[in-house]
Amino acid sequence: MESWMHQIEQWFQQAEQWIRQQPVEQLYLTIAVVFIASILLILLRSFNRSKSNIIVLAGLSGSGKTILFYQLRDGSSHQGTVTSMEPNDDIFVLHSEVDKKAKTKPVHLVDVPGHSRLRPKLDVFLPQAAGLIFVVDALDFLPNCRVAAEYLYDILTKASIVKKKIPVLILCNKTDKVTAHSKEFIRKQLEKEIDKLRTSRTAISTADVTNEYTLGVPGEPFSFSHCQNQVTVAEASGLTGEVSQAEHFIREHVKP
Amino acid sequence: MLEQLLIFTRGGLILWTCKELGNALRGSPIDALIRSCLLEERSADGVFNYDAPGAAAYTLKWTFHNELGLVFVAIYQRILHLLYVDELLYAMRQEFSHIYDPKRTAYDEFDEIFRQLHMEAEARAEEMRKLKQAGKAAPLLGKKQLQGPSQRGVQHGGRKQKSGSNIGSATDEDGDDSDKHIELVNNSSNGHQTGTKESIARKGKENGPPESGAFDVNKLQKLRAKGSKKNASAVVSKTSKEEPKKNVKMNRVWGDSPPSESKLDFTNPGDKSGDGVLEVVSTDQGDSMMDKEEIVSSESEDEEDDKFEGAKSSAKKGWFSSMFQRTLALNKIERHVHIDIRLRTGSLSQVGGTMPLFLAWALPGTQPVPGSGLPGLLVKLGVCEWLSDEEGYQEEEDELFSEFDKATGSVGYRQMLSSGISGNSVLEKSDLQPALKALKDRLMTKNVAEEIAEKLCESVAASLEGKKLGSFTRISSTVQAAMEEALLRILTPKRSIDILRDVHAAKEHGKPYVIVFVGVNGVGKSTNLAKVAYWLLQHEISVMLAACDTFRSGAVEQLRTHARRLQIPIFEKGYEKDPAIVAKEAIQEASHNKSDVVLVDTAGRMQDNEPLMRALSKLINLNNPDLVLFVGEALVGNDAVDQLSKFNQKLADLSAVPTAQLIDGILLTKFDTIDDKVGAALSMVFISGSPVMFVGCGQSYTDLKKLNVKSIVKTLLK
Repeated sequence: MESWMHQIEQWFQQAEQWIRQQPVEQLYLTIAVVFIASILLILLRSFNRSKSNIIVLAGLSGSGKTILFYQLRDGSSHQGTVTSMEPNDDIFVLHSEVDKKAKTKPVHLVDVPGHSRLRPKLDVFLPQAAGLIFVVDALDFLPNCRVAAEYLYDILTKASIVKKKIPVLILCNKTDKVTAHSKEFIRKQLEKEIDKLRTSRTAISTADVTNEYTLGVPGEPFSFSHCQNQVTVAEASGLTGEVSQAEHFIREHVKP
Repeated sequence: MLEQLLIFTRGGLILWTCKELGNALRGSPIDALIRSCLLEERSADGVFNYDAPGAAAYTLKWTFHNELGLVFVAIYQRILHLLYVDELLYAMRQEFSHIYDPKRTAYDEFDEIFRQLHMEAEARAEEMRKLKQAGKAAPLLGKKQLQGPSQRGVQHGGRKQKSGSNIGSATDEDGDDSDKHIELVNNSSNGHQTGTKESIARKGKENGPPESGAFDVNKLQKLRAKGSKKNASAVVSKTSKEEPKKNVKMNRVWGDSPPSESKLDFTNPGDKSGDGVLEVVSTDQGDSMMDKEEIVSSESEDEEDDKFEGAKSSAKKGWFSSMFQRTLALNKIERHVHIDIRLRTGSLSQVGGTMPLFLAWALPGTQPVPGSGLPGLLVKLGVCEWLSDEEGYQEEEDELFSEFDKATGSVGYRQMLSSGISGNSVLEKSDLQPALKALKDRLMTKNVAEEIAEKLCESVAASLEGKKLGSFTRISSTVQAAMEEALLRILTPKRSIDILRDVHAAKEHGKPYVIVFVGVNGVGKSTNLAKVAYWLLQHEISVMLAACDTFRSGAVEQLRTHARRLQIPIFEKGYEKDPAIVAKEAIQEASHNKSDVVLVDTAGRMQDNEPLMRALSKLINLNNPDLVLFVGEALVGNDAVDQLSKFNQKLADLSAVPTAQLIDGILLTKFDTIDDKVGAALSMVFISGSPVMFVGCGQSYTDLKKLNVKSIVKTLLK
């Protein structure tokens, strides 16, 4: 040990002597270079950190996410869509804002497939999400109510959503059809279903971690106002292009 | 003839549809294709049959363009056998990839190109048909004479049958080319009947080829043959079922005394209390493992620590073995080059003597360069190339290259040289073969059934063909990543496996939730039934057992013991009773005493045993259970495929209603006896499409857990 210490001291002394021998300008130059490099690194890292700017479109298969994606991007649903097998990921300026004179920031939108086998893909995009739009089929709502509520429950209890308080917009799609349900009805049904899910999932012993967090206030019927993050409900129609409420949500939560 | 042609992206946007064929499709065949075929990793089949509601039957064929992420689909009526669809799809893919642009969403100019391609493909198919017709006419003349009279006889009957019925939905898909040839010959021999055949043709397409009529009638012939076969088998099975009732084994009697029916069955049906000394189990054994989290993250960290601490883990072994193979190859090359140098030092010295020095430095370095080994290899084989540029060494260079390829078995070295750094090589099937073969062997060592591994590898190959390799990535790592994604997709359940939620829903309706356990002999149905009962009890759900195994001696007692330990009611009727009736009465009893769940135990039966399978489907049809759980053991190998497919098939065939109730979930047992040979889970899930709901990992009440998909995938690909 002592020999080690001795050697280290010797090295220090040698280094000091060597530094003293260098011309002063070189020393200043090296210090300046190191300083600038570290500043650049810090700047870059701060840029990267503010990358959580993605708006995620999620929902059951067949609820209309891909159509909404293309409506927001191009203003038309082109020739129609089929069940997505892969996410649609693009950065663009919202179609309705293209004409504006003011320079609008492009939005990074991701449409995650709704098929149950492709659920894990949602977890890839959630860490960088700034907002989540949960698309619900207002036309065919009641047969799928349970499955939709389960998916929504899973999303609302994910760690990244709860910790970062990511705002969620429940978008009732296909409202142009006559028999589509109203958003109030859908909201109430979803709240009821999630309430039931709460009791069946929390009946499991405390070691259960299929959902990391529990929702709502125990003892009271569940309501979306109990959520820590902001949950709102809106209406839209993908086929006719009536997507203003969704755009409003996006603009609110994407930092300008 | 074609109903529709589509080009769409993997993200779901339709890029182009053929506007000439504007027929409205009934049902939604494309969505069905994606959901039940492409996402289930059956994309290597090439053909998908879809029965739309409304008596329309379509066949779908598809092809991928993996690099651009596009899918090309052709839909046509199932009774038509269009030969040119595959070629047309490939031609379309070629042409479209030239004009494709990720930013564009409308491709109207493709209409014109498509029309040309369509005409060309049809013309080619016509020529092929004529050629085959001419070629086959001579050898099949003899056959024609035999078939002629019989066929005419059938056709009369066929016409009557056809007038009202819809054949498309009744026939099976048979794409045998040989059938077509015979049909063609028959057509030429029965020329006078083509007129009538056309009128018979379903859609009455005038521009259809004359052979389409021949198809239909010969399909009829086959139908009748199949129908008669089915009747024969049904008759046979009926007689076989009656036989056991006749041959009841009589006890052999020695002597004159009348046969005394000494009672050998000492069960006491009315004795429920029995030994009061038995312990009550209820909550004493702790939490069922279903409720404990699988600590996945720390497990993986532990594994990684072990990797670094322990000598070599299997992943490193893999790397070392591949590098070892490479060094073997390099050694061979080295030897060759050494010989070259010795022979040619004369000419080399002309270069100034630097060459031998260079060689001396590069070659003795047989240590593999870490990473991809690329720079070292390049140096060594660059030297070979230099040498071969001199006269007459081309053959040796080729030999060296081929030896190297064989030894490493991964990417062709020439390709690697040309593209390894720039990363522009396009994956071909031949490139993928060695890596896929290695993966398939690895899966099979993990006890995955052989045909499942084969199908999976084909599906992964179909999804990777034509993709561009990233720079510095090996083919084997690309294939591994694709396979991992495919496995994750298969094992992720497509419906919720939350039974508690379903039980609560049934409770609201006031009906008991019925679970039936089926499986072959000895897989652990009764044991795992007790485990599920214990787990349900822990969640404050009242359970009732139904002893519908009325065949195996001691089965009822076994369940009675479990019921006594768990303090739950049991419904039993002893032995030699009809299980379907017992189950029905049990469910009625459960709704009387307000039990939430009824667990029905059935006897084990082999999947080939026709009468027993019939009895099982009768039980299921009569009682309409909410969940049919197939209990399979994790030790099973290739038989898993057979078991599950036969069970599902029998349940579908013998069902009274068109939408038969098939196996809804799988319970995997004896999971603790296999270390890492977890392939049975994959085989079962792939062949049946139903998720694994529980995993039994021991023989006590708490040994029941959920399947952890990520850890299984990791274990399978280790």
